[in-house]
Amino acid sequence: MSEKEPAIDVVLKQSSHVSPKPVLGPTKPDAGAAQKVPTRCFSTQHSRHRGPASLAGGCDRQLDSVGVVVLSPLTARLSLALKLGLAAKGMAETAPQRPPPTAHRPPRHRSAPLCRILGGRPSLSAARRASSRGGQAAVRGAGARRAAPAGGDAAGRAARRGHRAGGERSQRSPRAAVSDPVDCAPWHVKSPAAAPGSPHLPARAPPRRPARRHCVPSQPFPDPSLYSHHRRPQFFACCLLALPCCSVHHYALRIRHCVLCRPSHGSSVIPALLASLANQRQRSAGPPQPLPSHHTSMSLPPDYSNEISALNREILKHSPQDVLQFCANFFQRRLESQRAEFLLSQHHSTQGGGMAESTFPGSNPFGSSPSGGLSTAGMHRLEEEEENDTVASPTAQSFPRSTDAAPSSGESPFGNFGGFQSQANSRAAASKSQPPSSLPMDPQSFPSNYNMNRRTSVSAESLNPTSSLNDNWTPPYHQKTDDQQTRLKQAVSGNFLFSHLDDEQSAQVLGALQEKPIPTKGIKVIQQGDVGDYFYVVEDGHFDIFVNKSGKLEPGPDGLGNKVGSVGPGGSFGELALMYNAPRAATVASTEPSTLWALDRVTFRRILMDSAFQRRRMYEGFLEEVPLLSSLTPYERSKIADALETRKFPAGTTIIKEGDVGESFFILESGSAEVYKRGIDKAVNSYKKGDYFGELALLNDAPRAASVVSNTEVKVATLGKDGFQRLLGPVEGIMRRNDPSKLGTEGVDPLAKGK
Amino acid sequence: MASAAVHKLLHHERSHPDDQRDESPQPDPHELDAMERVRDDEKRMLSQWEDTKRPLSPTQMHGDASRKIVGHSSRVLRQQDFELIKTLGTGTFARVWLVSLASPKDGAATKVFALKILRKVDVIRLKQVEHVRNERNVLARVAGHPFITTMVASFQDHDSLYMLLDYCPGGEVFSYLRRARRFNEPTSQFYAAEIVLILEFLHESEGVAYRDLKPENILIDAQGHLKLVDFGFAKKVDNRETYTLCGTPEYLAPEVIRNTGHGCAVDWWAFGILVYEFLVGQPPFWDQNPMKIYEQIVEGRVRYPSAMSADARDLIAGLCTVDTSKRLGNIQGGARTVKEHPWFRNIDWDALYHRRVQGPIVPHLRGPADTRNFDEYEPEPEGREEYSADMRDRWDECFKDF
Repeated sequence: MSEKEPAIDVVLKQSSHVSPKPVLGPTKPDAGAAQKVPTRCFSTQHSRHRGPASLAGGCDRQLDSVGVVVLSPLTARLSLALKLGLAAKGMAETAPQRPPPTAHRPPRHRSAPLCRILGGRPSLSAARRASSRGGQAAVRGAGARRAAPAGGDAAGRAARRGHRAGGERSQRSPRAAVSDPVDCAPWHVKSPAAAPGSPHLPARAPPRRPARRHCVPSQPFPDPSLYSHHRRPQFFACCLLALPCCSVHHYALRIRHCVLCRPSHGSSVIPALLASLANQRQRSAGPPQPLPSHHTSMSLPPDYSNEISALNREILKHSPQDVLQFCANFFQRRLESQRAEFLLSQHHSTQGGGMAESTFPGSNPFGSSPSGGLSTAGMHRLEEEEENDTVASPTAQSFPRSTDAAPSSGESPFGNFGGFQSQANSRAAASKSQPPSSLPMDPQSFPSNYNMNRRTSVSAESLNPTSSLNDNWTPPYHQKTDDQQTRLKQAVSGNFLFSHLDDEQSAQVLGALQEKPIPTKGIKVIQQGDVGDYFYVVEDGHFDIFVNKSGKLEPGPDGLGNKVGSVGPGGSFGELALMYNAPRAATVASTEPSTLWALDRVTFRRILMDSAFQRRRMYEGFLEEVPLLSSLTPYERSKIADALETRKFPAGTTIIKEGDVGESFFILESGSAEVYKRGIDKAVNSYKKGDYFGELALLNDAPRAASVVSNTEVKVATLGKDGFQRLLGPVEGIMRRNDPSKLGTEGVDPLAKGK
Repeated sequence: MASAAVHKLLHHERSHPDDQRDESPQPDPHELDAMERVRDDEKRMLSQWEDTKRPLSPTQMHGDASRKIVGHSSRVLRQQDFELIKTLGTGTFARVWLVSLASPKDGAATKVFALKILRKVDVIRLKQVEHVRNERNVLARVAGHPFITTMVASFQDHDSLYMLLDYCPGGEVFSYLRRARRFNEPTSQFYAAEIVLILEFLHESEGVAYRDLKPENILIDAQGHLKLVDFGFAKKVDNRETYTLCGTPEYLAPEVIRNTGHGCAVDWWAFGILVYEFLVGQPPFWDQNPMKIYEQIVEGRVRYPSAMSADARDLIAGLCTVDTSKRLGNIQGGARTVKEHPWFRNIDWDALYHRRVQGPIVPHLRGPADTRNFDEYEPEPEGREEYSADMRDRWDECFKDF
């Protein structure tokens, strides 16, 4: 009876080990924090789901998943140290808003299957890798636990310090724990401190691999509060010391963040970290020694020493300003290159295994990110996309790199979710040979700051061009001096909404800007949270910009929120209002008597619409006159009209040249042009608005039969043969729709010529 | 049979030119009696329709819309005929409820529907009158397509508009996608292929641009197939371009942002974004500042994860092309060129249309009214603005076909 079946969602069907109960207790999502911490917001939000979502949501708090996250040689010992630290912390934690990590830890034996579901292959491969490297097989759950008493010095020390740190923390923890989600918010949101100066960078010149990387860890954190700056710096240093090299950067990232928001801690953390690294380097300086015993010695594995010496070389070579960031980048690159190599080697051996899987190598679906300097052979393989790096706007600190941290393998995190069920078994088998590139990431953690919530639709007012023709709307025009005109043009030139306008549209839009005097200081021109209808350009005076974290202007003295910037002459604000009616993102208030230019959305969009509409109708009208295209349906004509491209030529330009191979056809939109033929002194014909020429180029590659030279400045609409064929197929086919006998009477008979 | 019943019903109903509106004062008792009978008939039809629910064949779809058994405008149904069970979703001016037939007869107790309720006053305030009318008319035309939500009937009362839709218990693809983080290629291909069939039908048979494609608007039905919902921005454009900016920021096509006039090609752009989001877990253009999103869109440079298959990249690149005269789906051949793309080489299009292909996610349900795949929503806020007599005089004309 279906009623009696447990509420296990389909996606968990295959895993009988897993308790259907949520691992993470339902937590009330804090609206404020949710705004700023999408990651957490997401997992808490979805913990309301029964079944897999909550399981997955809880996983990022599972210590065991830490154990498998760590992949490198030092794995067992180090994850152990971490665990002990965490466990200590968990015990000491008092009444935090979020549940402490240990509180919801399921029995250990469950963790492995759970991780396998969520992270797929990774746990397996991690274990295998670990055991293959020096026999430190204690990666998984209970094994690591048992190894604890016999753990190495460092681990023990780390654990003890962790314990102490945890204990110390507990005395301060209630406040700290509560404020944690908020305090960590800058990790996700743009923080002025974290990226000094970047908002002022020119629009198209972002640094290669911008520095925002440090905001974007590439692995899930076992427990965010571990890295909280409320921790003692010694604890961090200790954790770092204990961490495997490939993870160092990861934690360093987080600490760096804390450094940024708590400089006093930073001052001790960084030296501590560096001292640790230096210390380790010293110890491992000589030729790498084999480990005598993995339980009693602190000797470092050769791989680690190699990595560190490579890092040292790089540091010497580049003497970076920001050492920590440099190290972080270094290890990130190393990790990616290693994974990429592994993946590629696997790829060739496992090809042809049925349906393709979308396995994105590495933790980063956007490939690696060499930021100069390093050139390890393997890295180049991931560079194929790097040419696009500059696409992101420098102020878009958040976007693409943010996926750094993305996800696990391409394998569905859900047991039987993997597409076609018949493939399930083979996929499970295949997963065993997955590369280490499939980080055992918690698929629920999205350190990217992409907002994972439902997106709302937006819509502007209905604009209907036909009615606008009827009511004969003309855009408002407000007189301006030439000076003002030039300044306004300059002011909007950087805005992509204006940069696409042609001269007429631009003139109309600038003309429609209306002067708006602001008589005194303290006037709120726009208010955060209000609906926005106007875009403003500052003519003179200054304005301050305030953002209230609540999302809207509040009453009271602090209602404005924090000042986030100011804008002076030539600046502009409120441009989103030109798109649709969205709530204002900030409050803008005058600091002195000022003058603004204002433009409302309906006027702006209507100017654009009307000119586009009229142009299209004009083109369609022209096209109707072209005999070659007379058989086009209205639909096809509108497609061609849509594809026609406007070009301008100054007077005296040869638009087409006799003898050239024709590729495009032209319609004269404005101005006039004359036709010349070789050997004839004067013009044989002249073209005016609406005339077309070069249409035979659509049909064949015959050379141009004459030259066309512009008399005045001309505007032409043009379409290439390629474009035409892409849209409608070969013109020959269209011609054949006509009765061939009719073609003969039309003067243009290219088919006859062709025969 | 059911079809005949509806026809009789419609005919019967239409034979009263002076339709009785629900709220009309002092109806003739005889008239009222007749109306009650019609209402009962209609409710019976609703419960039976649920039993015989099946997609119409392509030929039926392409036939005269008015001959379909679903999608009519009912003059007799009222909200009181349904029992509201739970909110399934909310929009800015609409709320969708899971409903069952009130006082059900002979075995109709388990029949459930999704009832979309739009308050006239909100529709007017948000200037969405035109969009709501488009939605109703498009839904009526497309009712019966295997992958589009079926509007069984629409009706209105003095202050609200109602659309009775079939209920898709699987919930939004959005929820599955966010939970899974992303879909693997076979899963993405399957869903993308069903979307292609929807777009092909909407564009090439109906001349309709959907204009709000995104995972939130795609539901999974009890069999694991897709149902496109929310036709709030759908518009019959035919060969004319349209100018109203609408959609979802991350999915807007460049020509919509630039306001140069847009048509069905915007759906192919959005489809490219959708496939990308399926495969990557987030759309290609994103920023916290919406204006930056639009700037990226107009620029139109998509970055691909290095491990995305070449075919998938090629498909997305073809779809997310700023120049509409080069955009896959909009160029010669239309949807066919998309279907023939190598990324879809494993798809049996005919079997897919007839729902003979097993979907990758088949929701486990405890019953037809299981709502566990839907999120919880806040209760409806109290104290909404009244739809005044004044407004009724001014606006009811616009809603007369509802």
